[in-house]
Amino acid sequence: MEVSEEPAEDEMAQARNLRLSREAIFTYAAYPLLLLGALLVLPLPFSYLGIFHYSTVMPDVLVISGISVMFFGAFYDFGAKGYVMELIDNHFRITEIDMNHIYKQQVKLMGIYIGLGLLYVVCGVIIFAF
Amino acid sequence: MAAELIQKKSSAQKGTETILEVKDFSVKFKTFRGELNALDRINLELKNGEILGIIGESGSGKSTLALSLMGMIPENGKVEGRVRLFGKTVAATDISGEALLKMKRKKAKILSEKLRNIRWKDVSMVFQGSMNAFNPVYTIYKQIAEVYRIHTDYDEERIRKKVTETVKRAGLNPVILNSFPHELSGGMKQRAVIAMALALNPSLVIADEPTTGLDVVTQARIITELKNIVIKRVNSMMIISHDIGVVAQLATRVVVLYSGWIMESGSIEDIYLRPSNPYTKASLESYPSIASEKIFMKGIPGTPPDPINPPPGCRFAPRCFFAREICSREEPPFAQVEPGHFSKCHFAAEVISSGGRGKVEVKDEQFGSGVSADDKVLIVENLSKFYDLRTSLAGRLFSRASQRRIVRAVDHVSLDIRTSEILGIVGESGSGKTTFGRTAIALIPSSGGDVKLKVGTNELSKSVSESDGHAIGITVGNEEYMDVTALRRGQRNYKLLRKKTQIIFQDPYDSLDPKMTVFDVIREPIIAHRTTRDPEQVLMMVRDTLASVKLTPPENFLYRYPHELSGGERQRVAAARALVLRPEVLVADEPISMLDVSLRAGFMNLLLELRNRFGVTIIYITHDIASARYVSDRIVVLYLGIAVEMGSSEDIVRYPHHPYTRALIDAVPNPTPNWNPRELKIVGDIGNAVNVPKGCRFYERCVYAQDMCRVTPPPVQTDGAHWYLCHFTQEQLAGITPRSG
Repeated sequence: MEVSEEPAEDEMAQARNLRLSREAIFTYAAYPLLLLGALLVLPLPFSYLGIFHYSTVMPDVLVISGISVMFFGAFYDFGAKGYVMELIDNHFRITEIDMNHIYKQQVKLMGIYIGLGLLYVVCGVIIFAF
Repeated sequence: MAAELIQKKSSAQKGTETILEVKDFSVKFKTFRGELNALDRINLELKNGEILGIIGESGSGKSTLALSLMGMIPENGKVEGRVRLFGKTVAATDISGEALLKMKRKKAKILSEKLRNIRWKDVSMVFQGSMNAFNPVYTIYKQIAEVYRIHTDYDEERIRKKVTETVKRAGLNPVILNSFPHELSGGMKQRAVIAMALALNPSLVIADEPTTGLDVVTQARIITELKNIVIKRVNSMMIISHDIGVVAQLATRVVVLYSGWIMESGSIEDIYLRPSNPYTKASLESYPSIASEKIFMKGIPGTPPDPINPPPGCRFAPRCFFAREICSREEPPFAQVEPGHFSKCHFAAEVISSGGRGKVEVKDEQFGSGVSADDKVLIVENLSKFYDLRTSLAGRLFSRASQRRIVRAVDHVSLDIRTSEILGIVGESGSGKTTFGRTAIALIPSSGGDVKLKVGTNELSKSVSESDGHAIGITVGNEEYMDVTALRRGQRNYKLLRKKTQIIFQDPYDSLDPKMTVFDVIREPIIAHRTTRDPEQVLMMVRDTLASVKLTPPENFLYRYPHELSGGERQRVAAARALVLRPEVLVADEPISMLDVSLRAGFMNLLLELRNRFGVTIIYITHDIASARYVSDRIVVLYLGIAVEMGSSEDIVRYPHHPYTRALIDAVPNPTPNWNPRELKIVGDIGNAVNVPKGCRFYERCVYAQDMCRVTPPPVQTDGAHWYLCHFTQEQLAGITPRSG
């Protein structure tokens, strides 16, 4: 039996689809990460100038922000409603499989956001501890 | 033929048995502002075998009446009088929303049980808006089966058999039973709603706006479906609609509602051919029809009265052409004018003798435009707009499809629009009308093609016209044009384009900022374009514009907020905002679709007047070919992003060449009794503009389609100024046997 070395066209398309989907997940995940970075770095000059005490204030800020990120991830639809409306407006057929795929992606992102929220909390605990 | 069958069936079955009796029935709703009179002393009878049509604009009490018949008056509803259905009282003072709240729990339970036994078995309802009638999280099967589960003691096997039978009888493939509502097209959903209403073979079916929100082709199919149901399956039916064309095709007797009153009732011929009430007469004269001559429609001035504080005397008097002094003083009696024909008017006999539809003063000169074929204000060449659903972040995240999903919303459309012309763009939803309108004036960037807008000599700012390597100024013949597609936001000429092109949006309820007064709304473009900074001059411009859109006296409107205005007035404010800078091109995107029937004619007349007075060119986008014919000089028919036919509005309506245009025109209901519609020659639904056929885009729905249509793009067949896209001439099309639609 001959085995083609070239991947089939639909396999390539699927791989491309997976890549695009991953890129989108990373983009969504990047926002809270950037926010965490900003929260950690931006107050440093103010703390250095003696305006507030970094290790006293920041744990609270980070824990509150972490919980906010978790709630955001749990309740935000990540553009799913708009996407479905777009499909309906353009007369696309939406099947249960499509809906399940959307739910799955939403659950993934929710998990990521909850994880990132926990990361905020961990950062807060670390700052508090040291 | 179907209309005759309905009449025959109705007269054969018509007996003395009264199935519905509404006696001195009033419904008032308690609101924060006071008591709202939804229905006022209604008297109505429906005999076995009758098909009763109820016509009225929004707020007239149609849906309240329908809900009352089902014993479903909301909790803030207070009832007087009674409604008896098959001898059982379903609404009365002690059976109303308010009374149920005060009732003891056990008594309320017994009453609910009694009403539940009547609902669906004796009387069922086809609810308005099929998407809302179904629960989105249950399959169609589960929802239709629920009717059997609640009202019968069938086992699961028998329920499945019955549901399958019901769906088949409604003309649907049983495969859809496992689908969720969102998976079905509008027409399929409406059929499924009808199937659900007919599940238990009720004696009376109430269809509340059964075709509202559907495309014209789907609407025609649903009307045919309802006709078949009337002929074959139900004894009596009540059709409630604001569309007099739909009611004309189905009803045998008609009741006209206005502000909670029955203004007129009688046989279909009485109402449509010999109206005896000024409201009925004015409504009929405000309905554009493609079957009759193009005549000037007067419309109905003013707006419906406030249901909380209705005017004394006749409620229609402030808007009535026949109104005299007595009308604003005394409530007119609901008196018999002819046997079986009643009217609530002091001057019913005078109205009836003044003649029926078409005998109004004809002012054809209103349509005159003096458009010159050589004077082009907008030249559109191969304009395209494609959307890739995978470009957005959500699209990349949620799309399951492995291929790119490129929607060809507008695909290489070319046409010229002449100065002071009204160009109608018609097509079903999803045909690309709105996208074309917005791309043509660069509200959304195009994906390809050129749009050139005529400008005055030296009007373009030369310093920036050549920026980015794009030549903005183009000379065509002796005229200067601006290349709209080459413009970029931020350029000085972009502001000139915005000033010269304006848009009126579809929904006047959404397009006006609720926090801005009318003055602020209309002033905004003047400030944004720095036309003047003198407050006196700004006020004068705003007042003049309000007067030009017939919002007079302007002082009464200047400091009112949008929520204080009716739909028609809001749309006039939107028109005033668009006109205040005196644009040369105005895109009117379905401007009348959200307005009541009585206000539509007024707004269409306003567009004609604005064109005649200011010479503005209007791109009139609509799915309603009858209104396009009334307003437009020429019509272009779009289908899945391409222009399939173009010609003068009369040519398109009288002699449609393209099979799609023919189907669209055949689908328009005619507001005359006993009208026999032609068989619709079109297959399926519009679909999406993604996987379009390589050849003719209409191939999959065309009843004349041949093999060559699938692979070869059709050429332009031209007949002077009237052209269409098809492989076949009219003679060749006549020789092809159409496949079943």
